[in-house]
Amino acid sequence: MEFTPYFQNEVLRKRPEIQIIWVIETFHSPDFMEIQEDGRIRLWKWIDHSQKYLRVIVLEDGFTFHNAFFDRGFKP
Amino acid sequence: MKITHYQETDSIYIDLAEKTSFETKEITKDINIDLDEQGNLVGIDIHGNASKFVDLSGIALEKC
Repeated sequence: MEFTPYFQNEVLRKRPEIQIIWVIETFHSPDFMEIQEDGRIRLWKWIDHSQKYLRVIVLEDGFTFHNAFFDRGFKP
Repeated sequence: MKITHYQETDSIYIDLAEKTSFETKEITKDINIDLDEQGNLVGIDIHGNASKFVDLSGIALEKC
């Protein structure tokens, strides 16, 4: 797996609540998954610690993490 | 304020405040906003197709 500079420099800095282990867990065992029109992949996983769904966005290559945030609007 | 463009993924983060995000809200498929605990805007996350939304050649700061 890889991380975009955007993920490393902006996402992790601005959203320190997000733990990288949760991002990796979401990638490996998501509760829900969608493929966007542009080929990027959206993955969601419920994070017990935060009591929220984490959304992770992976690039179209299928292994590069690009974004992550707690998705309060997500309704399974 | 700081604007950073990542050309490889056509992503822009517009950092409006030093504060970290308390809540992220999705505006469109490509755009999120980051808010602090009081609901103030602290950043704009344009993680895809950013050049469609921001004219990088035309950014100017005007103080009145």
